[in-house]
Amino acid sequence: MRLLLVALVALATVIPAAADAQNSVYAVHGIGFLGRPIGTRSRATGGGLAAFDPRAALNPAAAAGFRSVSVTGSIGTTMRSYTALGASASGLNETRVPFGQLAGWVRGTPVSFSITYYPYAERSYNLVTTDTISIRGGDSVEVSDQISSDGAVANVGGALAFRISSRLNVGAALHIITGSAAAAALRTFTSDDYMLAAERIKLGFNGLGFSVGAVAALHPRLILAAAFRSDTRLETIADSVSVSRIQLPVTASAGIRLIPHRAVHWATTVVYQWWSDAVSDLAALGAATAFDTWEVSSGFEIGGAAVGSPIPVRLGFRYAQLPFSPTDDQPREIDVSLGSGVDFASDRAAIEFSVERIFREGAGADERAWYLTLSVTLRP
Amino acid sequence: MRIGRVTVTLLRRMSRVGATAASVVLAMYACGENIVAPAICPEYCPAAELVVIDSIMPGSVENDSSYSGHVQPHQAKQMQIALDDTVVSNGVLRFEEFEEEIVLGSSGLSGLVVAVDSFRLELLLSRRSEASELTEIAVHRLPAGFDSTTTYADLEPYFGDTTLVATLELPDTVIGGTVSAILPGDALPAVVEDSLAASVGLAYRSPQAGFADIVASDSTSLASILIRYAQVDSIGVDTVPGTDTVLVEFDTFLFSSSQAADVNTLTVGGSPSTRALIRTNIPTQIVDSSSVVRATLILVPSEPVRGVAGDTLVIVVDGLSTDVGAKSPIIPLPSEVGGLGIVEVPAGWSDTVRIEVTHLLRAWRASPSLPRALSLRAVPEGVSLSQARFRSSRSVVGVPSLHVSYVPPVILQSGGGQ
Repeated sequence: MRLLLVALVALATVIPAAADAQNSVYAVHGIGFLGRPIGTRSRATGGGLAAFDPRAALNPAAAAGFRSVSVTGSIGTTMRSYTALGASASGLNETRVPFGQLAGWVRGTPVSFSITYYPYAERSYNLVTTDTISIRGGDSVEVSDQISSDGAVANVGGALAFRISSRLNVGAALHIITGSAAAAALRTFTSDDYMLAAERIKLGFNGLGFSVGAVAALHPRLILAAAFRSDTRLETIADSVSVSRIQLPVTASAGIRLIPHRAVHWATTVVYQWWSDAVSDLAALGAATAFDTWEVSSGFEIGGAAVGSPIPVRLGFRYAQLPFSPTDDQPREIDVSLGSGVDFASDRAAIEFSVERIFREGAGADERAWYLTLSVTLRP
Repeated sequence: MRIGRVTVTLLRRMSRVGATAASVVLAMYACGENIVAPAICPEYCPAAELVVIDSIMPGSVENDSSYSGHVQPHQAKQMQIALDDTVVSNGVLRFEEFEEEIVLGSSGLSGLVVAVDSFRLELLLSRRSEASELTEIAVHRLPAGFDSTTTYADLEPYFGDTTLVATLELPDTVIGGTVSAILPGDALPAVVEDSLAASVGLAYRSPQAGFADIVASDSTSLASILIRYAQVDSIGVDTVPGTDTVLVEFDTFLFSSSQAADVNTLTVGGSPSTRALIRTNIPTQIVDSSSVVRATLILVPSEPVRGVAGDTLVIVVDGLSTDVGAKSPIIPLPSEVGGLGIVEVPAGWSDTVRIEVTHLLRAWRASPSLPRALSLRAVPEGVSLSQARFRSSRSVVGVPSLHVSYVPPVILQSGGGQ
């Protein structure tokens, strides 16, 4: 069992090549399909716990919850289908690394730290189309085009959190936005007279972000949280040349957590992102437009090891607007989620999972997805 | 209380088993991936768009010229004997000297040749024009003194009836392989009386224009041989029969018309062989930044392709590893390019010639240090009288051009939609 745990953690944390996020038909727009800065526990609550969860990167003050060193790795599998403008695709699936974390505390001090990884935006797609074109003065040739991208914009954040008092934690984090994507455009001809047209390019991404946050317990059964994050422009580099700069948003988030019973936690997190700041940069690239986004997540956690229940039950609901659209219609998504987890080895290891059913629609597309997440945490 | 504790323990164990099973299932499922989906453009496509642009570029060829003498007739791997209204080509062969004695059997003993019964001349025919029942190769006795400087006119008098020693019939069933003729013992008097060396001339004879290509001594294949059947002095008896064989020492083919290149045209082929060198000035945004999917070199003949009726000129386009003019080293056509860079043109052809050179333009993008120049040559080189002459960049009309189909660079760095 210990070997299995170690292997799973290694799989989830050491393989950067698979370090992408959940995918979507909307991944071709803007900077990609946005990832979520949360771990499996928060996912199972729809994201409601995100503002309070130490194993999330939304609020740096939440890292104050770490009282020991821990390593978390996770893998997530998407299974999805969609229809868009009369076309449809089904049976799509991919598995990626949605979240990883190394965290702990400085013994004897009120300081905790957290280094997190999550995909800022998924940039993987593989789109194929066939057509018949007329070239060379009427030469009718059948062609097959393939436009693909494999990679992600990644966020690696380092947070420091301070326990100011038993009721107040604050934190700050620096976010390094990095990552890469291998993009390719291929045109193949059925006629042997024509050779493959291939354009391949390796894109690199650069950016920085800074966030601050606080978690305040107004009452042992009422906790509030707030965080603020500001990012620079996302610079895209191709062949050592900067080819685009897209403004990333300012993000404000807030959360409320109620504990009506020691075994029942209800939490809601609201996030607002000013993605409209990117409109002019995207327009200059001839790309999709962008909208500000609201995201409201709410969920329950019932039971858990702290109250002697071996299997906590987590439920959640989420509504989110998506920032990028090819039309004036802003896409949105609704998630319902379920999850649980179990501790091992005298609480030195834990496995958590979540299952999400996701409904997305807007701008002529309608997408359905299942998203399964599994994470392993070791506390050596 | 005890029941509750047992229940908790049981649930904890069940959850461990379930979590482990879920981990294994998810890890196994993680091995597969399918993200291939139909493109829904432009709304759900990246901003990247693949477009093929066609461009015929008459001014893409410059500083073109022709250089003759790459393969001289006596260096060619074949020699073409031919007969046409405009040209006559004869083959001439000088064999190595026979020995005065012939080794008898496997004993290692040898005996002096006292009389020659006959000779057998064997030729390796590689190609011929369409068969005619009356086609034959006339074998003439020649004097020994000829070399690479000898001209057609020098030896023409020896191709008369008085020097004819044999005829080698080429029935229409023979399209290649070894053909032979028996020469009488006195057909080559020089062998008997003088130097022991034999020289013969080969002339193509047919009521129709035609040609025959004979493998020459410069080929790696076994070329022509001459076998002597003789009476050999033997101890104890008067004479015994013996045979020996000699190989070709020197061969070439001589023809009645000039094959020199015309400086105002792009000349390819002929003998001595001529190559054309074409330099290009295709815009760098096409060669260096785009994906060339098809490129065709278009050449307009300035006159019908020369050559004996029925012959075909095979032209190959090569890239150059460096451009130093006439002696520019070529990069031979790699086998994987299939039919690219090669075209067959029959004698008398006067229409536009198109040669696919896609592989070369793509090689230039992959290796920017390569000169953007082309070499046109005939293959096999120098073995045929066939020669093409194309209009050059200095011509008023019909200048060489490139027809390039290419996909411009695709913008892949930005998100899609419109």
